[in-house]
Amino acid sequence: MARRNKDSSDCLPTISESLTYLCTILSPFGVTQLSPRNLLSAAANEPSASPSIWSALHQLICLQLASPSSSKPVANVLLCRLQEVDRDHLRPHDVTVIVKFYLSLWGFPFNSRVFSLCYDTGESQNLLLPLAWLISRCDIFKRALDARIENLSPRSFKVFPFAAADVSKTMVAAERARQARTKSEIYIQKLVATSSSLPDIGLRAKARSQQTLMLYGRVRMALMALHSSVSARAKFIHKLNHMQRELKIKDQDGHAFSQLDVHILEHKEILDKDFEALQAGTHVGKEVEMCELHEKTFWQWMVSVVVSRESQGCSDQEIPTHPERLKVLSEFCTTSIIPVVEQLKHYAVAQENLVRVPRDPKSMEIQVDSQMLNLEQLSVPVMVKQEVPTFLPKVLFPLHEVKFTLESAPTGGLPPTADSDAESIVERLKLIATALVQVHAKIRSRNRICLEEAMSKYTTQDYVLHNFWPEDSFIHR
Amino acid sequence: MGVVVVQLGQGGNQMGYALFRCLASASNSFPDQFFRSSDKKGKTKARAVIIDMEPKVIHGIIGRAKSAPAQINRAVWTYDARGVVTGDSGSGNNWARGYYDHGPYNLNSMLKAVRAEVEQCDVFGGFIILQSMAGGTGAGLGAYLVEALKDEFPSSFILCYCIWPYESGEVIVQNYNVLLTLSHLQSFADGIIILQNEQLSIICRMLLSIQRPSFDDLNELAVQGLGCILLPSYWRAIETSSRPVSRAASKGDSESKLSNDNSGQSRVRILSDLLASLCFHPGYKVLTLRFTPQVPAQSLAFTNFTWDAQLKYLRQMFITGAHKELEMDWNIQLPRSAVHNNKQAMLSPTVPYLVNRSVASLLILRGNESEYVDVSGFADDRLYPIWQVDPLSVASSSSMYGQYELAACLISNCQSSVLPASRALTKGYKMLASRAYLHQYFEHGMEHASFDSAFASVEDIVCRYSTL
Repeated sequence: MARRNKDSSDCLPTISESLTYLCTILSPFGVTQLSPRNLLSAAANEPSASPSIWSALHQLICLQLASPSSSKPVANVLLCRLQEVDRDHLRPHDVTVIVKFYLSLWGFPFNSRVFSLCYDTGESQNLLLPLAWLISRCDIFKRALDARIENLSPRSFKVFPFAAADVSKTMVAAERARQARTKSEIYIQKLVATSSSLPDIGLRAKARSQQTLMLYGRVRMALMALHSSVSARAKFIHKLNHMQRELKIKDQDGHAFSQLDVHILEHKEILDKDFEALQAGTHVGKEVEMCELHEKTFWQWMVSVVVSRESQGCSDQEIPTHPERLKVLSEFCTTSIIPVVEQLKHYAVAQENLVRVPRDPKSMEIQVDSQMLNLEQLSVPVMVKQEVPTFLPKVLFPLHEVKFTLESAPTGGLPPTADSDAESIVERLKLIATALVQVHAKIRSRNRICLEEAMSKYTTQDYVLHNFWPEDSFIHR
Repeated sequence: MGVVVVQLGQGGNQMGYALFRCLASASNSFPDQFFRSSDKKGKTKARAVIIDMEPKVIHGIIGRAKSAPAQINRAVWTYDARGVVTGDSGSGNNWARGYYDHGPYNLNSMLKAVRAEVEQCDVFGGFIILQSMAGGTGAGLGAYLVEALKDEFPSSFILCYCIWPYESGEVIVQNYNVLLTLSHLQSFADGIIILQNEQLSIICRMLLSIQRPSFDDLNELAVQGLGCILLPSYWRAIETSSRPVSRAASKGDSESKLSNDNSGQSRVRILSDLLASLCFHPGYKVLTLRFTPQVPAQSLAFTNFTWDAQLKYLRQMFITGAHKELEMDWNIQLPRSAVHNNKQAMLSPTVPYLVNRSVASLLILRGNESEYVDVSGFADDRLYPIWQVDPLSVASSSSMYGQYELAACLISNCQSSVLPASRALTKGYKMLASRAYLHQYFEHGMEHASFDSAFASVEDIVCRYSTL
């Protein structure tokens, strides 16, 4: 495995430097289990690295759920995400389940080996791909860079001014110009109002003729004053240039200082501010450059990991045979669906506010039963693929306003089109789980019914297994 | 912003010297609009161009400036020798000689001196022309120079401060001279302040206890109001805050002479703001100054000044058109309505008008609590024409003005400004009808038509003011 990219120039950092950088920027976001050593060990397929990679995966998922786009560091991602779960009782198995669930939910290739790995797997190298995938999905590099830039650049200098401000447009001059304009507008309005209020038409005409002459006189005098100011300005510039020529003052390029230069040199505070902004801009530029280099090196290293993996003969698992995959999936469902649903329950609590209250509050129980009926029908594995989409609207569309559903649907809100039974079952599981969440949220928000009491009968393992996976339709196909 | 003062003729030069003395002594530091430092020896010089066809007066004022005793902690000021333009022979009170002979002959040297002084200004604000209207140099040469300055510096403001002669007749042809000068200044100057010698003399005798006022006394009084206007001041609103006005200002408060006492307010720009707030109408350019208090110097220490009293006198002076605090007609009050019958308001020298109406006014207050004094009485609509909006502008400075704890100066573009012109017009027509002394003008190239046009111009001015 190459330690340094030989194609690039010498300014590219080493792999260990980039991995160190990655771990450094992940730490403020609550991903604390990762270290360069772990990553390198995982690349070498050492089993000791697996727990830390699983933890990192789990923390990244929690980060994405807690604050999908914020650049602010999230303290203790794990705690804020799982507030209602006793953290001490979070088992390694739970960690893997959560990771696998959200990877599948978010579209990670379902045939990846990560779905069949356990917590202390010896194939730690296979964990690096989902890690990199999550790093990309979470946009870690960009978020970290934004956080760093925000700290570096002063508030008033987010962007260094691209051009020097014209010294003539000083605050005093601008304010005086604004006052003069306002005063003129008010004066004109008063003039018009004064003459308009005169009853006699002859008097009005005479008044307006006098006012016209007055305005002419004022404009003339204003132009004279303006001419005087312009002449004075030209005089000062000429004097400045003449003085510099006499004193042989030139800048480093051999040119005379402009009036702006002299103004800045005379007013040190402006110069200091400009330097401050320049320094901030330089720091920002350096940070951006450094981040880009480290990110480039990291991805190049990941490519090398993939190449190495393929050269060692490891690849994603083939799509299992029908019975095999069904068996695997059913084991996954039977053992893992409950924790997943539990997880989704907690998520639904957080998403409560997004649920729109149904119009008819009285028939909540009837609606729940109706939803359950639809879910049961949807879950029948013997249902042909063409019938799935027709049932989906009954489940989804009344609840379409739930944001979570749309966001979490792997197909962007459209009914999924499964190409294989296994995939369709997974998709159905997703739909069922999300539908459960929706119903949970609705009931909770509207009637304040205890979640466990309302849905307890639907969330027991026996109920799910009995209603959604009849044994004879699975195992014996 | 620099302002160049052009002193013309005997009257203008003497008044100019008095003005610079007033400006230098009225504030802690030399106002940089009117003074500048010389590069070589650090002496303070007046931004002035002094012009007279006779050297006697010029030498006199230059010598006086040099020999004036040094003020405490302040160097004396002087005139720049490069700004002196003089000739060998005067104008002999002949307006035409000043206009047609001395003017073209000395034009280059005058413009050269003016340009040199203008170039010393970082930001040039305009010209103040000090002249007399009765003589030859100040009047005739002055009128010619104003035209030339307008050609040379078309975007510069020109304010003429003119001495109106005694109506009893200092110069036999003064009626011609004043009318000719006024007609030319009306066309080329941006503002004309008329200062009547008659009024100055009365004030000196009746109020200042100077029974036989000298030219110095008159000049000192003449520049009092002008200095009050030209020193730094800051715009303020007509309506004031609720801060109470102190009944009696503290005496001898030397600290209140500090100039940086109105931070945050916009400063009045000399000439541009002044003229823009008063002479914006091209047909109304003649201004009058009224200053208060009018108290002898020896009585200042024993007099309690209050803003209410000072402004009360000033307002009545304004309403009646008077120039002195005493012997005002307190029975003259404002009419009930602002809209009146303009057709009957013809100005006549024999029939006194009732209320002195004005196109616009500028009130400058100096002294303690000047920012809070209520001056809404000067903004009464009945004092101004019906088509006017925001006629009153107010500026203030909390610094003392010279020896005065409280000082107020009202400069107004009002009907009383043209009263002397109206009277001079009557006399001038009589003289013109009898062709008196016209040969003095004709021999220098003037024609009768020049008199006709000048008289018509002044008549037009008088008529315009009478219909306010």
